Amino acid sequence: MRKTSRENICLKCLNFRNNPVYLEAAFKGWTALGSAYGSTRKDDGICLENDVYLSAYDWCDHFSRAAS
Amino acid sequence: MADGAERIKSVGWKEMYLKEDWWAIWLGVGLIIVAYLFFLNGSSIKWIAVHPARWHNFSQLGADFGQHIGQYIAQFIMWTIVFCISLKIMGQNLKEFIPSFLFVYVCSIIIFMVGAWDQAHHYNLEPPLLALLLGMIIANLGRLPKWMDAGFRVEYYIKTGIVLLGATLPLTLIVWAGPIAIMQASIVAITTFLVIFFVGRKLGLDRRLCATLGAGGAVCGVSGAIAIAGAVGAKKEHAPIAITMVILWAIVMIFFLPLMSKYLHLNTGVAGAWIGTSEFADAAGFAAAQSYGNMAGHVQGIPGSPDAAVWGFTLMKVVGRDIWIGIWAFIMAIISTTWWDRKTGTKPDPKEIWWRFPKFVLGFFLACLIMTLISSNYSLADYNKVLKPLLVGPIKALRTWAFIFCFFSIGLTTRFRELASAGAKPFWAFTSGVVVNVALGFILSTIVFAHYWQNLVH
Repeated sequence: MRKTSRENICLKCLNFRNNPVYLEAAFKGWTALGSAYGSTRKDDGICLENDVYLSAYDWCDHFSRAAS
Repeated sequence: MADGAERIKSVGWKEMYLKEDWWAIWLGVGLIIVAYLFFLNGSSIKWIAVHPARWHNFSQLGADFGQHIGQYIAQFIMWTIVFCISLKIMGQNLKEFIPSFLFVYVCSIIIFMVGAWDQAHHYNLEPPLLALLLGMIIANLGRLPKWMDAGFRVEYYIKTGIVLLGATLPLTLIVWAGPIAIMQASIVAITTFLVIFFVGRKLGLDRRLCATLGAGGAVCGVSGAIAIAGAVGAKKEHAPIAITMVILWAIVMIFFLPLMSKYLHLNTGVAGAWIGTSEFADAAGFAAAQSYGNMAGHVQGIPGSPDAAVWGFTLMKVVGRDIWIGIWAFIMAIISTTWWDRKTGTKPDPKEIWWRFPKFVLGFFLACLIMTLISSNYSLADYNKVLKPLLVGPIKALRTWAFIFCFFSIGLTTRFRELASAGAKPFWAFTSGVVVNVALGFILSTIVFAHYWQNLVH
């Protein structure tokens, strides 16, 4: 576990996808009994680099800054 | 955001207009306030809260529909406007939503009509089950265009319905049975989670998948599974596996729990609590609880009121289980980043508990509080004579519409061919939790805390 600066979190990474439209298409069946527009998801999304679903405030060594 | 593949910046407090939980609050509480303003001016929203009257033959049905067709059109316009405003702000496509919602609304009228037939109960044609079955038949035997998914917003409809439900559930009931609901929910949730987690580990599954499956079975169905998947940094394929498991078992339980309750002649409040403990998703549970509630008074030997089934379910699921989701996510984030050797984790923030809280529950409490304050000025006789037909009744009718949109949408979005293949090990891990959950939920609802669930009255 490590504490990171808010500058290199997944939310700012090129490999991170957390648009609800994208997520509902990526996770088949989600809309049958759930929704990517709900509060419980917070800002979570998919990391294309590590192939994981994680918090937007996580961090890894493969961080690649997205154009703002 | 045209291709839907970009990042969304931190939502934070902007969730008040970007997340459907908050929109369910604005919509539900807004409708209640408008209804009350009409009531204060000596009027009622009864006109627009139209629904099919009980009928015996087709000429009665046709005459009733012909007489009220203008009201149905007005109601469709009302729903369309309120949903469109919110969905547009949330970034959804209205060109797709409007025709799709028209389809949902027209089918919902037909479903409501069948449910209003005076012989419907004789043939087990309960509107929630009918809506679900009809939707599943259309989705699995036919193929609707993909763009129509825009109108099948299961969660948005159920959250709006739950907020409206708050206006018909007495606050005293929440104060009286709420702590029991939380206790019962905690016992079952912790047990179910641990069973799924450790059976999954024993079968050799990744612990992040075990945690995701465990949350799906124990906490809050699909929403719980996905929240925990994010908290523990699950592999991308873990969440779809949990979604498949939750959907399959939730659909089975929609039919199994009411049928078993009917067979055992359970009190409606007790059955509602059992469904609230052992069903895996809010939407699916409401379908089951409302179906069983509808049987009361129509099927011989079922004690309790129709409302008690929905109240028991709501207390257990919404008050008892849903509120824990943020806490579960926070705890699992701590465990995963501290002991699971994660390569992507950061130190969890306690604020996580608030941000992941299902905010529509606040709307449910707010609606309940508003209606309790309003009704406190009336005697029971006046409540039944004035408030019930002019204020509470129309709100209840709108709630029923929202639920039917939801149940029909569950069916339409449950496409078995699209679900991820789960594999045998996740299936058996999740199923072991289902068995424990259903059995423990039954014992707690019908024996240990039965006194509370049998006495859910005004």
